[in-house]
Amino acid sequence: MARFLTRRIAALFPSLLGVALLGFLMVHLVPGDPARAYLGERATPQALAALRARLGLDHPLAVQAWGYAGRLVRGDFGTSLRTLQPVSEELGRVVPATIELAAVALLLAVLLGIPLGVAAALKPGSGMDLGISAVSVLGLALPVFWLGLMLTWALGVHGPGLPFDGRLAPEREIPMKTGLMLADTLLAGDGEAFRDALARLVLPALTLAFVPAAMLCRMTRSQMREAMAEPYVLAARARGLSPARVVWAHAFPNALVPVLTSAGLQAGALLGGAALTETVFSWPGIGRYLVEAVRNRDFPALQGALVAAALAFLLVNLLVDLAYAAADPRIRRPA
Amino acid sequence: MSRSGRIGLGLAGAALTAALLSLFFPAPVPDLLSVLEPPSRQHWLGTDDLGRDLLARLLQGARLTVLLACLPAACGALVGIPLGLVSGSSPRLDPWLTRLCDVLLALPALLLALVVVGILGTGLTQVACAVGLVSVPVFWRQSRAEALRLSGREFLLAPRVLGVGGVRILIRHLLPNATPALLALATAQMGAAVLEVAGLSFLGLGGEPGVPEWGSMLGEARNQVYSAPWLLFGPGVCLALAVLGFTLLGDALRERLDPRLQATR
Repeated sequence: MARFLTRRIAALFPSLLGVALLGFLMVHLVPGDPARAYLGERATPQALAALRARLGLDHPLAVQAWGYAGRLVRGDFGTSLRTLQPVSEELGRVVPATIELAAVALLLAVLLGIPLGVAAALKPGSGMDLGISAVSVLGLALPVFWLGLMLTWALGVHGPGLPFDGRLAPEREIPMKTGLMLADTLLAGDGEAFRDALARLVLPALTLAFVPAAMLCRMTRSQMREAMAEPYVLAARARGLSPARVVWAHAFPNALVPVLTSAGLQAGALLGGAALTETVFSWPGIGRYLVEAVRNRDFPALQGALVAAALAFLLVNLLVDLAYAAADPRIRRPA
Repeated sequence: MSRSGRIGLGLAGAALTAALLSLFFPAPVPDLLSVLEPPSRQHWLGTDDLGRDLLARLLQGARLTVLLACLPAACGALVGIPLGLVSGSSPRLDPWLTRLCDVLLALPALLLALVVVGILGTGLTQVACAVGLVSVPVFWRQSRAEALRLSGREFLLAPRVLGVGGVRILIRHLLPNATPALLALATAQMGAAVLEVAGLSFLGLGGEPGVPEWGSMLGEARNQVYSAPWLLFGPGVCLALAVLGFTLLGDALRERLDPRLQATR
C-alpha cells in the first residue's frame, strides 16, 4: 500500500506543475497589456505603470517566476486588485462555504441516486424503471443554472417559500469559527439561526446534487442489473433466502464499489456546478469568487482561486483512488 | 436507429431548422409600450423588460446556439484528433503527449473554461475559444484510443511495408477508419458545448448584454423571477432540448458506428 501511495502522489506532480505554470503564465497570456485589461482604455500612463509594478510585471521574467514559486510554496497569492485584501484570507472565507454546500449536495446525491438506481434495476422495463431512466437521462442535459432558477421559482417564490439568497439572513450575527455555517450556528447555540442556515442550504444543495444524482442513478442501475444476473444471486435464491436479503446482502455490496468510486469522481462536476449554483443563489463560495475574479479581471484573485480549486480537485481524486485501492487489492498491484 | 436516437435526430434537426428560419425573420425590436407582458395571443411566450417578443428572441438565439455548438466542437476536433492519432500510433511520443493531455484533464471542464475566459477577456468569441480548448483533450483521448485499437491491423501494415510515409498513413489509412467513432463523439461534444457556452454566458461572461444567447437570456431573467417568471421557461426548455438532441444523437451514432459496441450487441 505504501508503494501504491508514493506512486499515486508522484503521479500528481505533472498536473500540479501544469496548474502552477498556468497560474504563472495567466497574466502573460493576456492579449495586450494586462494592466490595461484591468484598468480599461482610458487609464493614465501613471496608473498603468503603478499597476504593472504591483503585479510585478516590471521585473525580468526569471525574477517573476522565482518570486511566484516562492510565494506559491508559502500559500501567498498577493492582494486582490479590487478589494485590496490578501487573496489567501479571502479564500479562507469562501472555501468553507463551498465545502459545506458540496458535502451536503454529495450526500443528497448518494441518498437519492443509489436507492432510485436499485429500484429501477429490480424491475427492469417497468413504468418506474422507464421513469427513473428518463429523469436520469434528462439530468445529463439539464442546464444546472436553469434547474436552480426553476427551483427558486417553484419552491422559493411559490410553494413553501424557501429562502434563496446567501447562507444566512443578513440581520443575524454569528461568530465564524469553523467557517461552516451549520456548525457555527450550533456552536453559538442559536437554534433559530441554525434553522435559517439549513433552510438556505436546501435549494442550492438540491440544484448542485441533481447532476451527480442522475449519474449515480444510471451507474447503480446498470451495476445492479449485472449483479442480479450473477450466479451467486441465483445460488442465494436457491438457498431460499428472502428477496430483500438477496438484494441487500448479496447483490448490493458487489454493485456498490464502482458506484462509490464514481461518486468520488463527481467532485469535478460538483466544482464546475458550484460556479453556476453559487451564482444563482448568491452563495459566497469559491465558484462565485472565481466568476467575480474572471469578470473583473482580478488576476491575483483568479490565480489564487485556480490553484486552490485545482488542488482541492486533485486531492479528492487522490482520496477516491486510495479508498478504492483499500477496498480492492487488485488495484494496488502495478500494471 | 433506436427510438432515443430518432428523438435526438428530431431535436437536433429542429434546432438546425430554427437556426435557418431565424435568417428570414427580423430581430425583435424594443417596444416600450408592451414591457414584461405575460404570454398572450399576440406574444405567445410574453415579452421581456424592453418589450421584445420572447419567441422571436428565442428564434434568433437558435442561430447563435447552433453556431456556438459547432465552432468549439470543430476547434476541439481539429486540434485534438491529430494529437491523439499521433499519440496513439507513435510509442516514442505517446508517454509525453499523454502526460500533456492529463494536465489538461487535471481541471474540471468548466473551471478550465472560466480561467481561459479570465485570460482572454469576456465576449462570445472568447467563450467559444475557451469551450473549444476544453474539448481538445476529449477528442485527443478518444482518437488516441482509436489509433491504439487499429494499430497492427493489416491495412496499416500494408502501406508501411510498401514504404508509405507516416503522415500519409495517418491521414489516408488511419483517419478514415477512425472517423465513424470520432463523428459520434463530435455530435455528443456539440451537446456539451451548448451547455458550457450557455453556462458561461449565464455567468455574464458572454460580452455585451442584450445578445439573444439563451444562457445570457436566462441570466437576465434571473432578476425577474418575481415579476416575469415566463422569461425563465422558454430559454431553459430550448437549451435542455438542444443539449438532449445532440447527446442522444451522439449516443445513437456511437452505437451504430462504433465497431466495439457492435461486437457486444
